[in-house]
Amino acid sequence: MISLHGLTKVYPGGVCAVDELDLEIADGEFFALLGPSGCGKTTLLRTIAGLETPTSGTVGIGGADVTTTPPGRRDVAMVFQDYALFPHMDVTDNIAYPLRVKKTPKTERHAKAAATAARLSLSDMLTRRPGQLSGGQQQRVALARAIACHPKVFLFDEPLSNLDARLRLEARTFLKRLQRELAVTTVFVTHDQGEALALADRIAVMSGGRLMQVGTPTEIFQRPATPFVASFIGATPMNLLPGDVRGDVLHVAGAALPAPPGLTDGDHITYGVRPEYTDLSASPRDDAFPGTVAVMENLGTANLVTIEAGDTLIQAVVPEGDEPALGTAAWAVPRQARALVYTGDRLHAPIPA
Amino acid sequence: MSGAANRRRGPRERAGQSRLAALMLSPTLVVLALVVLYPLLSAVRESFYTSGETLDADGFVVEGERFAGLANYSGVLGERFVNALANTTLFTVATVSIEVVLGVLMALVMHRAFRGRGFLRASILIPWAVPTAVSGLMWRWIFQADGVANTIIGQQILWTTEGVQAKIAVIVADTWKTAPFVGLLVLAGLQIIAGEVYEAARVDGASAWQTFWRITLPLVRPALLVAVLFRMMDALRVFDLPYVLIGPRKHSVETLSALIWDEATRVHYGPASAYGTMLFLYIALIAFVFVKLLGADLLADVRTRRRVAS
Repeated sequence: MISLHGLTKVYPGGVCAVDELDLEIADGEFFALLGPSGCGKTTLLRTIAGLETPTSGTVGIGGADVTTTPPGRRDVAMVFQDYALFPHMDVTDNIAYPLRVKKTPKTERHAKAAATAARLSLSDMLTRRPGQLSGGQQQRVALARAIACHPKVFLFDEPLSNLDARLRLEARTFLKRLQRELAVTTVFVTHDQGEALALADRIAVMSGGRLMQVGTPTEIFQRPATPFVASFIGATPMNLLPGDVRGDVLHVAGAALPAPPGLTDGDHITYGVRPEYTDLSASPRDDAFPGTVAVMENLGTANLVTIEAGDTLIQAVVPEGDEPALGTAAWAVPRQARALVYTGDRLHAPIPA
Repeated sequence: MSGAANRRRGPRERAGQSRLAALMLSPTLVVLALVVLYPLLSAVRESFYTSGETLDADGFVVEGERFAGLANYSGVLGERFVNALANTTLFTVATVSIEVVLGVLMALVMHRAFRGRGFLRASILIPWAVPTAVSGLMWRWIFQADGVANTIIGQQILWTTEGVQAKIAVIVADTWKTAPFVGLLVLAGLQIIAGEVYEAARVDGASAWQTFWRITLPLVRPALLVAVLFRMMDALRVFDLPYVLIGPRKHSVETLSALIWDEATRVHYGPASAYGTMLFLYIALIAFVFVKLLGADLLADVRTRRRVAS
């Protein structure tokens, strides 16, 4: 178990990368730190590794306070974004290096390296140097180096970001299965929301050094706690439209929608609905946003249609074959069961609550 | 031009291409032949001739160059040449090994990030920037009988005369002067090592010592080898420092270059050329052995990489 309490990291120069952060990560959990660049996710990971010393707060691993423990004695293994393989060592020596540091006898560590390499289908390249490997192979060697010494915690810093798109999907599936089999607590950093949703048991969305929301991929996707999380999660950004409460009706971008309970007359709200949960109607409806079709983007099996309603843009995903013509009038109908209402900067309630 | 068109080219076209390449390179080769090959060959030729006026067997004065066979090389077995060879080798081994240690230390210090790093880097390089003749005079002053060196160690040593102390003086001054050069090349090597590699070693639990021996040193090795090779060739032909610091024709610090210079100034061009040829062969042999022994796996690495790529 990893527990962080009141963790703060201020870099010399005054940049506050991590701000009063509390987080508990359970044993065996596959945990993602997700956020845009500069949100502090990598600093947080490096602080868990011990490569950064927190300005204040504590880091606990497996019940022990390791805040001041050097990285090598925390029993963690890290896979770096650029893999950080030792260019002058062959694959065997790279994988066996952590064991060598721990003074494991040569035959034992070489046997262990060979076994780990076999597991990651690297057996054919044990005598190669990192410079002679492809990106995907290097990534697997970096993983093997982390696995071979059986640490308590794996820390992955954007482990898939240097792979090309197709390989990344394969590596993702592979990584998830590997983590299941090894059942080692894993924290990984990513800026790719799709990767976080696909891999993690739980996700922490970060911004400006703070946690915006911690939850399972389903929770984060379906009930993002703030407009920031809502716009960050999802392959297409969520429609976030300003509106007003009048009586028990929400007036949003030309549509009149039933207001959820708990709102008072005159409140300003933000109405959120994903393009995937927005349908198009060719005829006028009261519960729809009117506008004209401005842009069409082909997504393969569907089209992303952008409707221009005055100054606001509303996006809807339309299945293939149902595309409207450019420039025609259209009404974007939110699926109200999937819509979210934000008051201030917090989630008021999904509708229905 | 597309790759397919390139591949379809016949052998005749390729031969044409290499002829063109030879044509383009020929001006360089001509210049090199004029300024490198010709002087070298003429020095070797000179080493087999003797010149100046002399009397022949009948007592007549003969002038001009005459073929002398290996006569000029007879001095190679003489005490003076052997002594110069020993001095040169001693200076090379001593200065280069001390410089490697000091240079690596300097590079490690210069590589760290701290306030005033730019100032420190500049000041470490000053000895390398000072002309040898000037630093030689400066050290001569330091090593005077009533100089700084004697004051510090509280002894009365005549450094700049003859004997072991003169050798030590030369080694100290040369090390002071050229360790920064090694430091600079090693620093360049250190700077291309990715920071993540050190962090990976830290997470693996490697101590500072282990990191230095197993990570830093192997990765900086190519740069270090280049520095050592340059320094070795430099040290093997050293002339100016012993000359200025101790003086010419001093037995205990006379190097091969100094010996050649001395012979040449006394119009003994034949022996000077013979010794020059020997020095050239000596340096070439050491450079060859060095590259063979230490540079071997470096080249092997490049070769395997090429094999994989093709």
